Amino acid sequence: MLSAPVSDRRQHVRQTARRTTTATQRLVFVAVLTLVSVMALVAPGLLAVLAVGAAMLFLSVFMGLRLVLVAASRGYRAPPVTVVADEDLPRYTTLHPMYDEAHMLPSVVAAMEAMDYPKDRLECLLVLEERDEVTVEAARAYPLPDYVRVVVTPAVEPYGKPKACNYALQFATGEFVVIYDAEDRPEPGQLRLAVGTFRAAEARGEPLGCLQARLVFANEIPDVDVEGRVRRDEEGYDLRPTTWTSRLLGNEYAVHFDLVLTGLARLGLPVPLGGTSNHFPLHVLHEVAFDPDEMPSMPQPDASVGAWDPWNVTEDAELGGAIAADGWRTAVMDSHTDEEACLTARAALNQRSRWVKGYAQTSLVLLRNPSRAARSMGLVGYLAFLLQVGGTFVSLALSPIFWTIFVVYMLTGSPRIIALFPGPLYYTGMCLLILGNLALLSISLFAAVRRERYGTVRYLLVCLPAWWALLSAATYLAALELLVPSWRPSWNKTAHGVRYASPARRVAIATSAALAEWRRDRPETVPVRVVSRPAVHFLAADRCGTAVLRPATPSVAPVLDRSRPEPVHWVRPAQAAPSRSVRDRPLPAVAGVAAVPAVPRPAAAAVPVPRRAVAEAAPVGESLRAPVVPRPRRRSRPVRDVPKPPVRWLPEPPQPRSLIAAPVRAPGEERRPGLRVPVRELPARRSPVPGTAGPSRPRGAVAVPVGT
Amino acid sequence: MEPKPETTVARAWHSDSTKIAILATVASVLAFVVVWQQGTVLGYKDSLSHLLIGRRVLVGQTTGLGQLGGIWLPLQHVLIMTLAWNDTLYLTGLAGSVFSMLCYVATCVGLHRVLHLATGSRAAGWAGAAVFGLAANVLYLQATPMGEPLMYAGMVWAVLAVGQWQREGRTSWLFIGAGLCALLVLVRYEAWVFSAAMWCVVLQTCVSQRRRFWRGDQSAQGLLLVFGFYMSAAVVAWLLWNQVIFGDWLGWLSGTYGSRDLTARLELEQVGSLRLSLLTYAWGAVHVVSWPFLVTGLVGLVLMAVRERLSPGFSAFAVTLVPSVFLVYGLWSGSQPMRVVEVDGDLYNLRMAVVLLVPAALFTGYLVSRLSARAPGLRALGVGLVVAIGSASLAVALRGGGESVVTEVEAAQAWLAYEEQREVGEWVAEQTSGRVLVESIFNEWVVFPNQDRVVYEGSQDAWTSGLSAPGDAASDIHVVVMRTTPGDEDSVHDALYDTDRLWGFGVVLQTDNFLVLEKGAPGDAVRTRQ
Repeated sequence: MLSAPVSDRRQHVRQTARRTTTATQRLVFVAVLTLVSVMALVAPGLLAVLAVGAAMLFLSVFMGLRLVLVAASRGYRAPPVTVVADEDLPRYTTLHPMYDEAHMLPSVVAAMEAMDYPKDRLECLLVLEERDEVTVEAARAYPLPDYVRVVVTPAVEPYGKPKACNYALQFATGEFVVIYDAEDRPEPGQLRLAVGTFRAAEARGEPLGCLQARLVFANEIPDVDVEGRVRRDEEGYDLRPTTWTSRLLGNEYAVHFDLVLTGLARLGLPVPLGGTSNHFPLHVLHEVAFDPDEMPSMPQPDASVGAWDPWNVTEDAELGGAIAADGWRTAVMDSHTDEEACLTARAALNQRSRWVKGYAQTSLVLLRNPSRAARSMGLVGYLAFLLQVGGTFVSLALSPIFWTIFVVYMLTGSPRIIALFPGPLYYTGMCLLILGNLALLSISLFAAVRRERYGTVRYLLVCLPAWWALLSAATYLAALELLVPSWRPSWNKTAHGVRYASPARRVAIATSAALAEWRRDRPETVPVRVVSRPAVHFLAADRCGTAVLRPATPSVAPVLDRSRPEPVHWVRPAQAAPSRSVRDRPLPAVAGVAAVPAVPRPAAAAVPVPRRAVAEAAPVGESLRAPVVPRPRRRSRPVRDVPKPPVRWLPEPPQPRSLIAAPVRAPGEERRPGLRVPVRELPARRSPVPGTAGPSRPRGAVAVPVGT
Repeated sequence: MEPKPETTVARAWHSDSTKIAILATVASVLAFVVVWQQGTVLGYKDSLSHLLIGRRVLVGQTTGLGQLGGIWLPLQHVLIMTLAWNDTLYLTGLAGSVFSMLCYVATCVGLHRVLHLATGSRAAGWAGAAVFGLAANVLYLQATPMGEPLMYAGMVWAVLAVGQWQREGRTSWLFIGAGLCALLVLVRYEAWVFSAAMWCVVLQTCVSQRRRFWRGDQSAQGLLLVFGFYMSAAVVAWLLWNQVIFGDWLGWLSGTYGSRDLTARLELEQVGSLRLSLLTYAWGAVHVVSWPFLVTGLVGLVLMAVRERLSPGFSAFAVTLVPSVFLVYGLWSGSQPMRVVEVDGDLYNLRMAVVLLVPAALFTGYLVSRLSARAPGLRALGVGLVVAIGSASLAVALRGGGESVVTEVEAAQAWLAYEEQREVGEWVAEQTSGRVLVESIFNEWVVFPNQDRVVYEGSQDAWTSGLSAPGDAASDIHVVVMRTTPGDEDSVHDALYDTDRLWGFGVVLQTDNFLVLEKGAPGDAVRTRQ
């Protein structure tokens, strides 16, 4: 219905974005510009009204398409899946393009280790670039599993992910291929699901060319414990930092993958793919590949497969159109991949300007030969795809213009502005202004609530206009990059694995650290004890006194190692302040409390407390004299029956850390589920690497790229 | 041979909702025909005003969205606007009645679905739909271009949406409920408190489901923000509209021709007297809802409150009482007028009590569900009783020619009261041509048939120049109509009567309360009152 007939599909000829515009396009542009100039001289009023009318028409169609897609997404169902036995699972190749992301190697390996797929049929290719020596060396030094191989792309322009992936495809031996970014954490069953879906499609005779998993920004919401408190590390940083930027980026993903792409898939329209978690049969990539003559010349021998456009910064979106033009269908999987969103507005601005620029590039390529493209995609499919990519660019560019006109009119009531909007345009504009914006907001709210991102709602209500303004600014930046050749191709790469704390959080952390430092300098007579965690049993105040403890075992070091019961006197510092962890208190409380951060340290040998120190310690009180009943040993975490633990952990001397640090965990400590950003696995801070695209130190944040 | 699985369309066709929709449509059309024959479709003066407002946005000497005004809430007029450009639909009142009739059908279907959802009883659904659908006053109101039927439909479907969300937890139902509450805000002022009360129901639901507000997933926070955002946006938009168009945020409340201003003119006894206000509304309820359904509704209310222990489901039903409570407050505070024979000796705004039929239908349906739960045989009896009572009262109404339908009686009285205005308006429409200078407020019947020619107080510059120099070519006024009622003259009379501005105009029609002058007509323009 909406796709082109089979006979026309193979007529699609892919063109790269090596040249932003063709001579014909430039000629057309000059002709239009000339016509506009003449009209501006002869009938400026009419020209203005026509321009406003054209913009109104475009925005109405764009808005209408958006609403249709959202409505259509309601009935979308993921394709049927066939259960494939382990022995029948095919070889699967995963591509992991990485640039300047040496610190992400453990994360990538861990994500692939977690995949529920036979490792003997899994092939993970780390796609690196020759000029990125740091990452290459790190990868060579890292103990990679057998199924992981390193592919080093020669340093040939244009640099970037699409060319690297094209190069790596020649080494792919799997029947299916998927791309994952370095920070991606796909669902463990995603590969199996993809195989089952492709097999089911084959059985039905359906030309399924691509499966897109839903991308989710895990750091859209903070990591919370069972009580709903935000989890923080020992230094007070959120384990999963969240900002308004990450919230809104996460919401954009929700709208895009849950509503827009599913709507496109349901209607059988071309789907502009997301950047990662695109699953393809390898032969489909070969079929839709560019002509080798169009690809950059690589050092021989080379058998690169030109699946992605090396000159297009949103090569994935363009590939989605190419797949549709070749007669293949794209579906959205019922599986998700966790990603990491930018935390600062500046980083988001850079990222969005890249994406919008890529959309503009893709649409300019599509407009080189509209009739041919329409024949291969189908007219409706072609227009819908063009609206999705190029329409996004145009709508974001038009938005600030009309908002400016509206504000100026409200302030001045200018008759010239009134003249721009005759009756039908006036009512159309009012509908777009009120209902259109309300509809866009409602779509975002709906996507947030549907994904149970309830905390994002307040950000949407307050920050969405600012977000739209940021997107428009990114659009103008992108236009500038396109117009100024020396700026192309620029790759505003998004930094990942960033440690971040909001300004309020940083104040709290700094205050806590200052107070801790002040307390450390004060002389105290508190018995210091070095013990391993979590082997401390705090006795109840009314049960303190003679503590009878069993001898220690190697796995759990008790507080005391005695052959016979020894009296234990728990001493409370004379002026001890309430000892509370920074993670448990909000800012004002933390700022005012002499918090003693509990810093976990690797296990050390249990050192018994000297009897002399205990004997000299001041008695707590009468409650100590009560007899105590021996408590059975438990392997659970410490039982805190008293409100204040009277034990202080000694500082551990800093350990030298390697370039690629293995996960640092205390013995017996389990990997915490839901730990999306493994802060503990990140090495110490380093200074920014020169040449890294994008901000190395985002303004207003403690965001420091954690790497070597 | 296995029976073919029923398709979605077939299922929908056989469902109770479809049957009720068909029956309600038939009843609606028949009721319109009866009312049309009795000539009371446009009995209420307010119905004329609604049509006028809707039409003049697109048709007239001064068009534009500003013609929506700032007193009455705009949604109904926006809907009427889509049909009122057509002369036939406008003059017959169908441009507004169509929407009232559609809302009547939607209300009947909505009541059935709400009760079926809440009680699981089809009988309860049929009973609730019958209580509302067979009410003579409702059948009359739905044949007129009034805003109340829109409010009834919005209320019932908002209750349904929130009820669905409470049970299924689906996001889409919450958004539908929020959207409906926002639309209700733009229909009637008493719906503002209904929407606010519905927000409280959502809050109660979140509390009962132990949703978190500040910690964890913050689901209560998100849901309450979403639900409250739309209705708040609608309120803010209306206030902003008043400020932008008329320079007064609260012009709809305290400005000229606002509710308080109009009510003050009536000098009602209920103002400041809670006892009289309650008594007035109670009598209105008796006339409109009828004793049997007031009793069954009350019993159902108490029964549901006891059985459900004030659960969120009960609260969703109970908020339908809030508009009535608000209207009683309006009577007491002087912002809403209402008169009944038992208190004031005449009838005015009895339709304010019709909203009580919605909770009456809901709680009566609940009562029937409890009866049928006790003994299935009582199910048919319960529904049968309800239908019998409703049908009987309707039959009485029809046999009496509408005399027992208080809302229609009021409308008929108003129709008679404005006979002179109608004659003047029709005469001007048939005997004159060109622009007509006339004040619209309180002269609606004069304006109604001449709307496309009229220069009135909302025509901005044309009105100002018409009052100052009607004879000038710039004003282009050909006909001047003024109300000459002693003590109640309109602004045209005040500006032009007995002045030389009417030089060149001659009197062409004079009645007890109106004077019509036409440019170039023979005769003296300046006349003293006879």
